[in-house]
Amino acid sequence: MFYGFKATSRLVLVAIAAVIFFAAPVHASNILLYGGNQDIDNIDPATGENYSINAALRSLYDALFINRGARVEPHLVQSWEASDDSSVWTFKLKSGAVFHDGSPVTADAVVYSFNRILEISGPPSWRWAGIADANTAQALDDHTVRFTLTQPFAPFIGTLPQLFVVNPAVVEANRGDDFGQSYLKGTSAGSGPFTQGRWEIGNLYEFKAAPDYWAGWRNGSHLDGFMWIIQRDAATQKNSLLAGETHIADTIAGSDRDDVEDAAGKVVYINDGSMANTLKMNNQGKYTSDINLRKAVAHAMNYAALPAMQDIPVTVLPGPTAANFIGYVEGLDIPTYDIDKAREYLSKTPWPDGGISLDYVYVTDFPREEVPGLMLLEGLSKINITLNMVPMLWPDMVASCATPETGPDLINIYTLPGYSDPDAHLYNQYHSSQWGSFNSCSFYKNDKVDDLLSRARALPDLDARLALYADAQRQIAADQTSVWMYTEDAMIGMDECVKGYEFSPMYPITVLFQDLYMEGCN
Amino acid sequence: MNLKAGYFIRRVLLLIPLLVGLSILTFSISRVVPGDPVGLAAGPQATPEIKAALRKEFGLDQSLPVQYYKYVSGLFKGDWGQSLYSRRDVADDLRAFFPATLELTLAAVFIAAVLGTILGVFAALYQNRIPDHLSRIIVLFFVSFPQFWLAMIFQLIFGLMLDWFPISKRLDVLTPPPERITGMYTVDSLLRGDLETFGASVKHLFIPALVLSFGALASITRITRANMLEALDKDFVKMERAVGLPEKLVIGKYVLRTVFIATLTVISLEFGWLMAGAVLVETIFDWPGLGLYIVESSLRLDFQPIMGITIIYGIVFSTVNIVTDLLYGLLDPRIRYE
Repeated sequence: MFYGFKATSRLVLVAIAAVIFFAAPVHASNILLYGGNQDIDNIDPATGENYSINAALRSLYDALFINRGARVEPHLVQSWEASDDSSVWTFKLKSGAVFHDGSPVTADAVVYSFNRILEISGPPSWRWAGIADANTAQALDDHTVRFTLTQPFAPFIGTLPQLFVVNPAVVEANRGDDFGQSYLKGTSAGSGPFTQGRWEIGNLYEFKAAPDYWAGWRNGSHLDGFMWIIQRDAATQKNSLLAGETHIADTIAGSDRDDVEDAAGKVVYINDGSMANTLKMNNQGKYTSDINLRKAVAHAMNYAALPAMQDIPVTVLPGPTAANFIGYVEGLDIPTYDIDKAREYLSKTPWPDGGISLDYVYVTDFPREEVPGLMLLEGLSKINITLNMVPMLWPDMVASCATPETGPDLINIYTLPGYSDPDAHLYNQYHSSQWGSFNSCSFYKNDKVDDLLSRARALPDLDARLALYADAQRQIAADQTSVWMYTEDAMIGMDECVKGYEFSPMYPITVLFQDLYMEGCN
Repeated sequence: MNLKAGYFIRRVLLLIPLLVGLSILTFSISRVVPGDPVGLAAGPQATPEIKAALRKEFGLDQSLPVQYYKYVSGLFKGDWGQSLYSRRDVADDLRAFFPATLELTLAAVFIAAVLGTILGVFAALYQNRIPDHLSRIIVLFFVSFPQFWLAMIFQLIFGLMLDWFPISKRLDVLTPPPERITGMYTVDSLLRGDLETFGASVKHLFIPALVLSFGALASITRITRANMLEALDKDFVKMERAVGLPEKLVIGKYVLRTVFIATLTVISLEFGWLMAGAVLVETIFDWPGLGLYIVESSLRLDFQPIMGITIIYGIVFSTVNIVTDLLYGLLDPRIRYE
């Protein structure tokens, strides 16, 4: 083994070592290399939905509207009108929009795509559940589509950036027995600014700029393409960014922020995020159905200490809605950390001296959820309430939220609004018809709030709607359905040569690739 | 049919009941543990109707025996099922991820075997002297530190600070992988005669494999040392030395061959452990292998990937055992297969 290597063998080994050691990395100047924390599992607009899938869908497909920054802008749509009661929506499509195979994007294609989403009933369909059916969408002519909703729904436009239009001819040619799902999960059939290149499952995905993209490029300059490189570990993302192996790192750990900011030519964008961390209390639970107990719990949390305790920058929530999100209500009566008040509220419960124990459920091995629990544990111990820290796997947590009987006393949940409207997170979390979904694990029921949230969906006038949402939130806060903790600030690290980035609260940790371009990148 | 072929066929046939048992066990356990993977896959806002549709689409509304029957009959048609969460075919996922982990594990085992044997031999030859102590210290050092920490430190030093090796991945992201034969980039690039890609893939493989190998280094070193010491005391060694055979020949040809049987046993055991434990190294180096797939599938209680992975691992563990048994015979002609 280590005896008697001949000179020629040594020479060959040295030559191989040289080939390996000096193998140089390849660089291309106008292809953006993006370090993404998550895989792009599936690119079927009817079944796929999460931040990475959405980044891919927005690149491969076009939708009627697009989220750009904090705005919802018309994209395939030229003009639109709505009936007075917000139940009938008519959209005139732009002419000139074409799929990647050159065929036109028509009203029929919009109807086909919408009905396909409803029929498959995959995750993205929740937006239109209860307000649309198979007769809702109608093509009036090649470029006019009408949606007649089954009930008035004012925030309808906010949901349309998720209605990605598929090419019906391509889907039908690959329909199979699952409405084209097997085909579309890995192959696009869209009209978007990019087409698919190398598609290596679990590793990286290449997107190439569509030649002569019909909508043009917002900033004139544009990328020739981009690579979504899966990098799960934040340290690896940081190291790759600093080493010049990527241009963007979408998951910067709080502890790495200074390293990136201090590096020449790198920048970290920090924005108020809309991912809210809430401690849901089971409003039907044995103890937590008592409003005074819920208030006692809420006063035992040290909110001011939360930013210092978390490993990422966070902003304490001022109520059910974050201060940077539409529908935020100023001056809500929200508890502060006050043990005397906690004791006072506890004295009004059937357990005035405490002596009870509550379960706090959080995701196993997830410190960001564990830490607030430990802080609450300390606060509650001062009023003689024991908090049992119950780590659970995610599927088990989801299962526990199925019914009030299985719902834990307290459960830590992250929520992200699905569209830019108060309805997107208030209805889903606080309307009693939503019990059974993970987001409504507080099992809150208040007829007045149900009525306000239902009416607000139907009003066409935004100010009138916001007034109803404000009333609803005052009631929700008064009922102390939950402990509102914080929103995570969104941090994204970039090479300064990347231009055109604009933060979008709807997609806090990723970018709109079609608006990016590069200047002076290596 | 000779004895060895008969033995081999018997061992392969025994795989069938093993895999059936394994699949029933995994299927039952994954279905009876609490949790709502459908609710998870459907998303946090999913209505009960959306969840019901998903349950029906994946056949989860049927009885367990029916589900198992459909799964097994699908396997015979090459259908390994679909991930509830990603909706990708499990067969496609395994095809993509398995070769990456196999390549990493084989490289790690190779490094551990070479380093471990060298350290073990030197430790034995210089028992209780400086090389022996050094070997012990080296092994103790690398086995004591958590693998993920070593991975990050090596990445930082050799990737970021010295820029000798890439930070992550199997190849530079702008370099297309070699045309697939086995799915292992080093092997495929060599078979295709693409030395440049071979060089790049070895460069990407080296540090992750080195870090992973530390997990097996200690046991291989210690077992080699112990057996080496025992062998050096045997009569045949004394005789070979007495008749004046060169020390290189005594150690390299005769002693090592007897020692390596025990080492081979350890290597085969370590192979399985390294493969199953590659997740941390794969995560740090963005190595798109099975490790992370296993963890994510288990955390999401994603039934079909869990089944597929279990079956693949069952096959790999059994194959390694069979190959090890056959290698014993090559190393020691006295071993008979009955």
